[in-house]
Amino acid sequence: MENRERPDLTDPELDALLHTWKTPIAPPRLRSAVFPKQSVAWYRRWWAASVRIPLPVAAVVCALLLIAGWQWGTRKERARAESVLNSLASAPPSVTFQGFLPVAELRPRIIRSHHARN
Amino acid sequence: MRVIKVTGIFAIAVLCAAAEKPGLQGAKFVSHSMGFPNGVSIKATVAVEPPAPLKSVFENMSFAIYVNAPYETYHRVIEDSSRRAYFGYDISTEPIPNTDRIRVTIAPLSMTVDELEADQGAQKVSGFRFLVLPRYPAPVIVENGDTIALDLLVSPDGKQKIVDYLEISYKPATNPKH
Repeated sequence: MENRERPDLTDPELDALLHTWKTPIAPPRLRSAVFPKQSVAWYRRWWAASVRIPLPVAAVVCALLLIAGWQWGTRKERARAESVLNSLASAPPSVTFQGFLPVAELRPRIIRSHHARN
Repeated sequence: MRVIKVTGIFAIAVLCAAAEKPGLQGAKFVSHSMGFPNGVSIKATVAVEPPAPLKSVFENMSFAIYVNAPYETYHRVIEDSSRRAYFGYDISTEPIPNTDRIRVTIAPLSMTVDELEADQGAQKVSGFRFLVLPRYPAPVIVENGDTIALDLLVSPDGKQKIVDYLEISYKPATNPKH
């Protein structure tokens, strides 16, 4: 085993020595090695982008999306059913009464008393 | 079975007789009135617009009113005995408190053929086809003395129609304080 003779330095001496130590100059390619200047297309960066969100928030968002989708589907189905009913309802009865057709819809018209005909 | 009281019937015989009278051709005919226990009265009038020979229009047709206890809803029934079909509507009223206005509700006819037959006695209506009107209006609010016009039947070319005029009047119960 190598037995190197080493002068004993106190902590203040070591501190002073540290202040006098000059770091070597970084080589020019160090920056490019750490931060590579690759020309990445914007869409690749966009595709690789991610957002960190808390799990509860993600769960709530997923639940809301599911509910919205279900509601949309239900509403669409209801609208379709209503349109079918309306198309059926708009068809007046086909039986004639002395050549007259019953109206498809009773629409009351209000004749105010001061406009009433005599 | 419910007991239904026929308060009036507007039959073709009456119409034809009226049509024979001078001055009534193409005019309105007061058929009957409805009295509600809440103080509202309705005078129903059927009219052909524009005027036409009544016999040709009303032959085999009848306009009737039925009511059952407690007389809160009247049934307006229009029948065609030759076509063996009928349709109509229910009408009820509700005075709006502290106002001179009345809420009138026109709803789908709730009379069945059996009920009609029970009331018409000799006139058989069994097998009559009940025509359900596709849509009925929302309740309307009128003022005392107003008239509601309801188109019931219309000619295929749309030029002639049979209209029900409902004249609404309201006489509130006498209050000793006033």
